[in-house]
Amino acid sequence: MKKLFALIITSLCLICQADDKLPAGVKPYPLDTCIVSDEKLGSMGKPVVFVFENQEIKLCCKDCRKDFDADPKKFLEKINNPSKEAKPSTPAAAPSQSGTVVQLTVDGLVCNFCASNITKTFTKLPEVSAVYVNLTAKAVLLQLKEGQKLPEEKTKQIVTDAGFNLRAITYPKDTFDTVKETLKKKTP
Amino acid sequence: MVKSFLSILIGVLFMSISLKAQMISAPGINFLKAEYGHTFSYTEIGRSFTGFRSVGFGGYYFNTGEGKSIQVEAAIVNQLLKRWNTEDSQANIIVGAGVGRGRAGNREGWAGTVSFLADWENRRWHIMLQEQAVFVPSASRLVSTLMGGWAPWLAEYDEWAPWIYYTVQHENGDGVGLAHGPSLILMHEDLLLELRVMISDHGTHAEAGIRLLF
Repeated sequence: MKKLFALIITSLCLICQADDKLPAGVKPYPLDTCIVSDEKLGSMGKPVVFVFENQEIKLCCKDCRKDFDADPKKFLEKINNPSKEAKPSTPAAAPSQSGTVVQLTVDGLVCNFCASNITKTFTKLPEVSAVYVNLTAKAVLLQLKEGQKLPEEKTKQIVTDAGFNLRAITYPKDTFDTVKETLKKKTP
Repeated sequence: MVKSFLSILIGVLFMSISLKAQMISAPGINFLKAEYGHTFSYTEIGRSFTGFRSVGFGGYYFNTGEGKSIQVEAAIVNQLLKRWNTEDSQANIIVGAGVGRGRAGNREGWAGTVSFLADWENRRWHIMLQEQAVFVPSASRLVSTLMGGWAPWLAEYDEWAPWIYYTVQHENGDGVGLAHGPSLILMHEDLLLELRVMISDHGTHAEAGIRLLF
């Protein structure tokens, strides 16, 4: 009985330790983006965290775990060569918004008519050339016209006026179509 | 222009009660809400001037039996009193009021409408309570509707999204009284279609509804 009790206590300590800090020899994850989707960690909910070959890995969602498991070396390359593949976790200069893709994470985006309202609202803007809404990711993807800018304050106001809450703005480095396809893959 | 004309035409052909979504959209978006029921039909066409207020025109029709009816046509304002947005859900409280003309039998005069709607939804579940009251010379009607819906699978905006609902509805006066039944709602982009079977002491009847954003 005492042995069982000691085992439970030891297990609980190990679990608590695992939550607080990494086991010895495991390198911490150096990026603030998912190495599979390049999404900002947290933009798709709680990140998926695990250790692979003594390297801590953080992914934006469960679907990315499947992609990672299919070809881990490809994605580990992004950690080993961050200058080539991914943004560092240290704060970088604000990305240029000219002709860029903007991804919004919106609270309250739960039904077709919510998506319809947001799509129509952003389609009317002269700065925007394409809009895609993904309900699963609560994401609104905007393609800005060449040379156009959409200030974050204005974006936030538009989302608020439409009746929703803007939770995050990210600037994916991939093309509009690539990000759209990535978001579509996350649909169950 | 063609889309607007078709929307109005559909509104005239089909009339309404309590579809899934609310009567308030994003600023500058028009809506049509129409439903045909056994004893109560309703149509509203309007425009959201802000994300919290819409103004439109609505028509109510109550079949009170023995060839008699109550009809109201009114200008209606809907106001979103409160919205709660979370990462996975949304809840709303909406009130509406209208003023217009009404007829009950051979009496005609000023008429008014009042409505209250509270709902909560996430991508899988939706619960809605709606109260709609109509006042005409020498008569009034109160329709209470409680709907609970479930999505058998989660569809994206550009796919057909199915919802299965169960509705309980009560109409006071010499109307249908208590009625209940299942319904199927299909949503696709800017369109919502509803087919409902309602069971009451007066029998079983099919009802239909449509909602469109444009």
